[in-house]
Amino acid sequence: MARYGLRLLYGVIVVWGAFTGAFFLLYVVPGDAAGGLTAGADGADVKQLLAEQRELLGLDRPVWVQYWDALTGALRGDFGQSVYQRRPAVEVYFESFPETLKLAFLGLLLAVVLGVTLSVVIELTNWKWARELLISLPPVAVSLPPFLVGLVLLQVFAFQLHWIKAVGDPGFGGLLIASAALAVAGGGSISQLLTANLRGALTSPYVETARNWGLSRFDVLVRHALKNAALPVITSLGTTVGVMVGGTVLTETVFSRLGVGRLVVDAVDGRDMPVVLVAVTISAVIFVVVNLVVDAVHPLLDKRISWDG
Amino acid sequence: MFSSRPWRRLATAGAALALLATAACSGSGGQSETAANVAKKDRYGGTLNIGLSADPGGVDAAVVNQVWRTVARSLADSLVFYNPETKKVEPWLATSWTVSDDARRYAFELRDDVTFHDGTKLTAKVVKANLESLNRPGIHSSAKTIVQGISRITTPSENKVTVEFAEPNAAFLTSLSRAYVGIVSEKTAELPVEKRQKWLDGSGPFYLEEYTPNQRIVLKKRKDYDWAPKYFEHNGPAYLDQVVYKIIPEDSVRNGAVIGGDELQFIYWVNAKYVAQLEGAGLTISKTLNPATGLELPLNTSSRFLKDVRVRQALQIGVDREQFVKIASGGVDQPATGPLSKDNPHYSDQSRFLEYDAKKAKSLLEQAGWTRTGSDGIRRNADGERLSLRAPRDDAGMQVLQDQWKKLGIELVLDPPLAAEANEALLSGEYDVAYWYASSPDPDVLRANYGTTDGSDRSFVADGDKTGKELDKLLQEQNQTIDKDKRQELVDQASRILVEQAYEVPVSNDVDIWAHSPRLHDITPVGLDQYLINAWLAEK
Repeated sequence: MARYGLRLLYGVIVVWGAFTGAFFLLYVVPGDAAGGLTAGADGADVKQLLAEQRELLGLDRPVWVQYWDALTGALRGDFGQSVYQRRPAVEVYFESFPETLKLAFLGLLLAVVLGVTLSVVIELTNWKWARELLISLPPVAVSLPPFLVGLVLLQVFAFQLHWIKAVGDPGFGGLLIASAALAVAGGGSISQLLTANLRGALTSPYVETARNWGLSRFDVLVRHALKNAALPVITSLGTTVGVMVGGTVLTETVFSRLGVGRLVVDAVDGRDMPVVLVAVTISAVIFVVVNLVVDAVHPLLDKRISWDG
Repeated sequence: MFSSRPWRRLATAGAALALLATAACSGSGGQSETAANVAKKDRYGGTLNIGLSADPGGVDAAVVNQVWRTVARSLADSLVFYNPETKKVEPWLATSWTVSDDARRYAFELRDDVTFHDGTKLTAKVVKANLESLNRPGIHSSAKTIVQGISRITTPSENKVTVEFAEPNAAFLTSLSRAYVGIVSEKTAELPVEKRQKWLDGSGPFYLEEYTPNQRIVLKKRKDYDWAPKYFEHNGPAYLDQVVYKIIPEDSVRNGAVIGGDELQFIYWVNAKYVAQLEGAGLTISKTLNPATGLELPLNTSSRFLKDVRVRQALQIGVDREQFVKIASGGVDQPATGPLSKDNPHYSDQSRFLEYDAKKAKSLLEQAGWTRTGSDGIRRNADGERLSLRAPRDDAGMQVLQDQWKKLGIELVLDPPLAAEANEALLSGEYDVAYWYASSPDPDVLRANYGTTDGSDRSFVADGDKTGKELDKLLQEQNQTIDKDKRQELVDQASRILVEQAYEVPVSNDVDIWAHSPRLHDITPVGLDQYLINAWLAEK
């Protein structure tokens, strides 16, 4: 239990570090929200507009005062107002968050289904040429950029078949297709890892034993080998979830969906500090929690691993 | 038979995949010919869906800068209307006005039948509240500069309002026609800036139904609207029932949504490279010349190398403007012939100083001491310095200029700042060649950009620069002159200095490309702004 507490402490440090790092990174890069607000004002006395906005936003205060305000505010759950939307940054973030969560989790689910199915099919395939063809799929999938996959899917399902709307389809179909765009690369990487592990597992003595019991090839593969081969894959899912939650920006852009990815990219471009800090802090919390959960799941899958080990 | 249909559709999809690179899908044309004969009474109804590439950040043009040509124009009317054909200011919410000879006093008479969406009436008091609300902290848009010099606003009667300026302001009337000084209800005018950004009650033909940031903006028709400018020859409410602006960041998706499936019927600011594809798909393309400046490059006359007027002149005549528009915009934009576009009411032709002459440019550079050329093709002076200039923008246009100037032995380094840092970087004078975008159909944009005593001094005029002082005097004077011919004379003189002495390099005049479905009619832009009062949708 003490060990669990220590991990929790590490987690808190990670979150604080992410918050602080994001604050100072955004502070040192050129430009600020006052510049973003006044961008495009034509013919104006821009110098004066800039100074006025800076004062109103409190950007003319010393950096440590701004940091301390941001940090103490964040501890109270108050990240301040989004500069552009002029409402609490937390509200802005949590409006998009469920959309991204749905997208990321359905994407992850599809990726797992896709990856596992492909790996199992590869192992069950006898024809050499078919097998080689299947093995070559995961690396191709991994290297396909999500926006390209998204555009192809849109072309087919929206512009040709009209099954979904091209623009921010609110239904499940739209979500499913957008998730699929996200899942292709994830599924590929899961399959790569799983296929390699399955190879190892299938040559292990315990599998030999299982075969000698007279189990079918499918049973050996799915009931015995897969369970052991899955362990590293589950470990990798910890990072995949984080990457997916944080990296849905391309999919969200292509499918015109509201989401955290787009929100954060826009916020960074516009130097909208409160929104960036909410997003970074919550992403850090997600990373920490998911990794804690993955660690907690390990002993359930493999009795040899324990928290005290 | 039925079972084969999904396969046919899949086959179509497969074929489309093969064509994805060009995305050349067949559109449904042929509806427009018959639709022109549709009687006015049969044009009512329907929802117009418009694609926007980014969230404008709000709906009120007084508060945010990116919305005035689109959403805001339909929500709020202005006191006066700028007629792009006659280039004259015409009545709108104001039925008549007088301007004092010294351009300091403007008296307006208002319509007495105008109401805002919240039911309140347009009165002189409301106009006063509007103009006052624009001049307060937190308003960071172009609107503020229009009202900044106002010294007094009086309301002699319910329908009369008088605006007085401390200094002459000849540009005021034209400026009032812009959407960012659209008149809103008194309640809206008094809202704090952060509220106004998200909501407004105007007197426009449409009212705001919903604004969901990064998703959509929904406008609904006002059934009791009956005060469109005469120019539109339109009595009563708009034809469309509803207008939905959808935020679609990806170009190809926006284009795709207007081509097939009728998800959108209109998109703004199409890149010239997509025109052939969209035209091929049967869409209607409209092209409008920007009445202000287009691509103009202020030169930093205080910078190390550009202090020398000969180097600036070499840059000026070293631009092959014909070639520039051909490469940068596929021939859509127009070569600049002066500091103002041909659509500006005070256009001044300075093309004789803008003719491409590479030989003369090279000799000017040599006279200025840039005689040696290094192995990299860039000129050097006696101190061995390279003739290298920095510019804050990197796009197809700037790359063309980079290439053209390279031929003279001048290096142009493209080093663009992000939007959030652009203003500051441009104001600091760290760039040799800058850019600016101005959109006002009034010559006063020149003072706003290049004026020094009052203006943004984009060419960084040095203290000892006599020509710069003279230029400033002319620029200030034109805004104090009401007489059209006298004002034109001042604008001509200022334009000549700007171009001949190369305080700026006018390159091209922007032509806005809009694309829409053949179902949509009468949506051609009026000047710069989009008025939806006459737009209507034919049956599918």
